[in-house]
Amino acid sequence: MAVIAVAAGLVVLIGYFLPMPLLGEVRALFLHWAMILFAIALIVGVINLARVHWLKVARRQPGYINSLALILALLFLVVVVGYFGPISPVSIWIFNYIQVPLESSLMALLVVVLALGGARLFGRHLSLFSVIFIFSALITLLGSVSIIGFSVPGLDEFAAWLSRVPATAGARGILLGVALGAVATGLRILTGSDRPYGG
Amino acid sequence: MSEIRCSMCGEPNPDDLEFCQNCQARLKPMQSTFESEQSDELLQQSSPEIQGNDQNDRRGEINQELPSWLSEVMSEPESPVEPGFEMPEIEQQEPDAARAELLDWLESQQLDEQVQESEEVSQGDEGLIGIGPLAGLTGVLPAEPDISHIQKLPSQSIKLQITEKQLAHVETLESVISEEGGYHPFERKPAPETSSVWRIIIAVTFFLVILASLLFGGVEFAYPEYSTEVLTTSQLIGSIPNGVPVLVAVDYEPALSGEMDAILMPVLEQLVFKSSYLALVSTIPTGPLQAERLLSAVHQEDYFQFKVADQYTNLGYIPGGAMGLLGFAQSPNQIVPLDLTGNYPWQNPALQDISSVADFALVVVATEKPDTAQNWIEQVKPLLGSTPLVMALSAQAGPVIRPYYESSPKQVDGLVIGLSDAVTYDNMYQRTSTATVYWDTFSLGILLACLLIMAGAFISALVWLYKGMRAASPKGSKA
Repeated sequence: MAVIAVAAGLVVLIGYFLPMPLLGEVRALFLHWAMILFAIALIVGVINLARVHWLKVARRQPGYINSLALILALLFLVVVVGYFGPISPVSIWIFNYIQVPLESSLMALLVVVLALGGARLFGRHLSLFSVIFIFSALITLLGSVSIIGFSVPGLDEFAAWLSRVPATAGARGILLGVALGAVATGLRILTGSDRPYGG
Repeated sequence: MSEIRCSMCGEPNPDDLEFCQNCQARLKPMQSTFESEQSDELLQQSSPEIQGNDQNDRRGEINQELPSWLSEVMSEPESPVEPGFEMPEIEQQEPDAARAELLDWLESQQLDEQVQESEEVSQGDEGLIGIGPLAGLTGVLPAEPDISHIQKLPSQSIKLQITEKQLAHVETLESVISEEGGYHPFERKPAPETSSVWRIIIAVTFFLVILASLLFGGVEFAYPEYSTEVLTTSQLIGSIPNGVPVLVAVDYEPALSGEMDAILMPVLEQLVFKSSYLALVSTIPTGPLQAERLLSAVHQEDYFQFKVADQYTNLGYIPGGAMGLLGFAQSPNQIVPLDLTGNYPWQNPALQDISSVADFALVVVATEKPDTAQNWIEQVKPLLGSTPLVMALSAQAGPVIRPYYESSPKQVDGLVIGLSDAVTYDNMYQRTSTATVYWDTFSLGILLACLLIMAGAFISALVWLYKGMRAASPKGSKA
């Protein structure tokens, strides 16, 4: 198992450095297989999800009504989208008027939660960093809007500086850390030290 | 009964045993029958001279002739000889003639040396030769019979000898390892008390203010100033020829469609205005439907005269994440051979020359996730060649992706970040898309959120300080 995984990884990696036609073809083949496996895993995941909730319904476990709703919705969508097609008007209608409003509503709740959290932050923990946090958030928010006829001198420039210098510096550090972590993880898998596939 | 300690395992054994009860090692040197008998005869012949009463008389005479220090040595009592000890055969076989030539004082000293040697042998007879011509000698290499002597190996304990401290460390390590893979229920911390009244007040305030702004109009907010990345993006799109194929990735979840639709819309409108042929893809399963929804909104704008069937194809979902993107960038027509309608889109005149992602005139990626944006930058951008990569990002992903835009050479050629950039884009072309419609209400919501946070923070800080002062005062501490 480890030999196959390491060999596949090396072929794909070497394909980046050596522009050999044979390596390119092998690499493309591996990538194609990986995509097929990924798509099959998605289908297996859906089947497993349905099975878990079906068992919950069959055993009358607490909250089985929700599981029943999930199974019915899944069956309904499979039948409708399978019959009419993925971009048929019926499918688009279901997406536009059921899925998008539901997910957007959940996201909109964040406004209330975040505003309440920011308002009560000092009541829970008043420290230098909490003051800096709230101050930065307020400056950035206020700097992004401006009422006509009312402006605070230097506010826009300071907000732009906050988002371009400290925020970008932090993001750059995060990117470097992520890149180093990815290299280390890749090397561990290529050398067989880390075997997420088991074996 | 006297005991003999085994030289191999150290266990005491009765004197009459020949082999150790514990490890079966030989306790006594091995002797042949002939040698035993011969040694007995020699002992009988020599015993009158060594052990007889005349010896004491002779010692008395010698003592008179010897120096005082030697007399003291001779007057010391003889060291006891263990019962099981046998006199070395080489001494026992010494001829009487040779013994007669020795002086008496030397003979007696030799006897003392023999006794001393016998003690050493009895204490540790590991090097004592039992048989053969070297029998009785110690400290010599053993002869072949001793080497080939087969005996049961002494039993050794395999139990690891460790200290209590080491044992404690082992137990700690074992507990850490066992806990690592085990199930540990989370310690339920008491949830911070949050009054539901405050939640309701904040939610109702937001709802009423935004609804009033939408229905009756409200405060007018200034449009944001032009940013360099928006200018660059509009120039890039403006520089591509009309009617060329453009790849558009709609990679955002339906939950973020309120923001992302508004951000992507001005870019799409400019592309449609240039009669670009749009090839839509997505790396999330709901992306293709999102793209259809977005294009239907563009189609409703009459002034574009957008002919859906002739100006785009929906290539659908690309599975595999980063791997799928790499495969698609190398050979899009092999990875996605059919579009969502089941037709083969690569025979379309606009796409028939596409063999890799670099053959598109422009690549536009719309996403709210930094990870997705990074996948496009890292997997697709190296294969793009001179084809520009433009990204429409949510406000949360903007700061993470901005370093790619500000790097040299640029890994992202154009950026549209957040609603403010979308409004700027609209203003550049004197259009009124979704972002411009949202702008005043969006700004009012932000202002309201800032006011609520500031008011709440001020009150919370006062309460916190009051509690601290009350706890610090003697009266408060007593209470």
